[in-house]
Amino acid sequence: MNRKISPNFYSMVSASLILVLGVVVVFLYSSAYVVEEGKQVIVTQFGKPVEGPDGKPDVKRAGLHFRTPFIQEIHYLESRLLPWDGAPESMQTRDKKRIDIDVWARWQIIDPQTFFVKVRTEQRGQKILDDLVDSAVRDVVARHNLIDVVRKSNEPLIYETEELQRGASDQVTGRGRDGVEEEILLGVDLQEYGMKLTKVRIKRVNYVESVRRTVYERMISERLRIARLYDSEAIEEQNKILGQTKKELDQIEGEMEKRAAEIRGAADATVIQLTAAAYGQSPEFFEFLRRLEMFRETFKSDTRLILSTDNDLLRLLTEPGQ
Amino acid sequence: MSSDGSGNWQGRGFDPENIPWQEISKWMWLVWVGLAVVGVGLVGMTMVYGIEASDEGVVLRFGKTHKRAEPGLHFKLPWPIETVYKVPVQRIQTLEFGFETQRPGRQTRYAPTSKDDLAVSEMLTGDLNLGNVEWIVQYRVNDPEQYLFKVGDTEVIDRRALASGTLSEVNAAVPDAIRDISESVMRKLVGDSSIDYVLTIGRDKLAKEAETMIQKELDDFEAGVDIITVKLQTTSPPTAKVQDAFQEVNRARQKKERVVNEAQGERNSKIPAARGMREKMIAEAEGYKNRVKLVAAGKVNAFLAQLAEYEKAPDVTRKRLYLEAMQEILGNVGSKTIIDESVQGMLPILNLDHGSAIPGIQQGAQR
Repeated sequence: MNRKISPNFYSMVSASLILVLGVVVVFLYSSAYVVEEGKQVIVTQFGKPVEGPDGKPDVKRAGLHFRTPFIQEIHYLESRLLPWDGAPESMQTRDKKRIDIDVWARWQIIDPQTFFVKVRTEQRGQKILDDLVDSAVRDVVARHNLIDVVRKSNEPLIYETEELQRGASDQVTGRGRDGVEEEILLGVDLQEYGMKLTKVRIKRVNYVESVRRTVYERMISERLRIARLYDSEAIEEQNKILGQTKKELDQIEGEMEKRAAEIRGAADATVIQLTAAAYGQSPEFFEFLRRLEMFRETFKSDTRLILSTDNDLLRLLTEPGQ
Repeated sequence: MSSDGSGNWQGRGFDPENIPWQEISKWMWLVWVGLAVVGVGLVGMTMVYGIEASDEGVVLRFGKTHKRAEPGLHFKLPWPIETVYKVPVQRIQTLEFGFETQRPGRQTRYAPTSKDDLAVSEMLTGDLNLGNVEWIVQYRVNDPEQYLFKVGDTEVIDRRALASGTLSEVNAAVPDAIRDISESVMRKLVGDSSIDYVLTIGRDKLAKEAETMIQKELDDFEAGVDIITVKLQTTSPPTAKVQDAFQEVNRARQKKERVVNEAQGERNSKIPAARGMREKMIAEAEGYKNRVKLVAAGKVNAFLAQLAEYEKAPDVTRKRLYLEAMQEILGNVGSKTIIDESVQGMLPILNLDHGSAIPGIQQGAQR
């Protein structure tokens, strides 16, 4: 008997062991759960959130946790920063400019219990943001001029050329774009949903299609204005330089003629002075010599000379011997 | 097959009293061992993991960050106690804004600019002009824990791909965040600059500022990401026509430079030449001065010398000089006509223009 029962007993034991192990595993499986980093868990009992020992809502953070099997349910919620990206919306600024504006935001579930009760899923949280952020953006944009949405300071703009530098253009009030973003952020109250908006940023701002075309036209005309200015400045510069050149040339040539005349005149004067002094010693002899000289120069081979025998030079021709 | 096992069993099988418990417990033992081997094998498989050189592992124990794992082969506690995520911390990833690389390579191809790209790249500048700005952002994960657990998405994440590390982006919410931040930062900077600054002079500065601003915002997010670089690619006026107008300005500016240079060139070629001419003329005048002075001095000296001699015997010298001069002069004169004083009315028939009109006289004279 003993020999027959004991193996039977062992297998019974092992079978019941398997059973117990199975029960434990099932129990553990339905009781223990792991919450990963970046997640948070809200536990409900018959659909109602369970409160912790301190009376505060029981929110499980990362780690190993247990629940009462079959009675308590767990719901995973994100604890990470969540994105929201609105669709581009067309709206009007205070100075009546129509713009397309595209905004993104980041939000977080800060009160999981409230969030779970009122919103339940992240997708529905997005839906709430769709409505709230959009209207906040409209409100804020309608209170500001376009320049406030575009610029963030009143720093003077830097241009390539002075000609493009504009006078006092539209001035930003307050902190401009940064201020607008902050106003939108403050304009969205998510506390009652257990959510918090941590960041709102204007992603894109642009004129609506029809205005954009007129902006292109304005940019073109502005540039062409500068181009024309350069063209006429070119001629101005050219004329300035050429005029100056002419002036300097005249100056140089005038100096040239003046100096040359002076030098030559002084030379001639010296000659006059020298000769006058010398010839003055005997003007009569000088005249005599000068006349002879003159005759020499005047009577050349092509000169026809008609002399009368009466002439003093030829006197001997007619009066031989005298 | 086996004559002992199955034979014995069948042999005694008909007798319920003789159920071969001993045989079964032998079998049970085998089953236990088999189960244990399979179990240990399965658990063992979840205890070994490898981290690639470009990655870093984050080990979670019961969902909580436990430690990091460097590249190599590692052991961990079996699933479900510990799990590991692999994050590519060394890999540099690039995001493109306003354009799209279709196929990188020796000759990289770019996708044609789409409407979406245009929506990304067209921006309002501070002077309410429009410009197109294309840029890239390069980043690298520097803190895998933050990267995994700080920035999330409402879309369901593929956990398996995440754990195996096969996705280049383990947490797709992070590049989305970088995209959003980059766009808003770039627009904010461009929105506070002139169109000229964006298109030409300020490009480098814009990229630098964008880099620091994007990094700052990402740090606010605790995204666990380092921005390596922000580079502006094409920055251009919004349409071809506007671009032409910008070109027109460049053309006009260059033309202005050219015209001014040419005028300067003309000036440079004329002024020195004129100065040279001035010097030349002055030098010539000086030369003239020297020459006429010398000549005059020579003449004066000659005269004085002659005068000194003349005064010693004025009459005879005067006659001699006169006659010598006359001899020379008459000798030189080509046509001489000597008329006796008794001849009257000779002049009217003289052809003054042509000496040959009176050949007889001419001949006589030439002899």
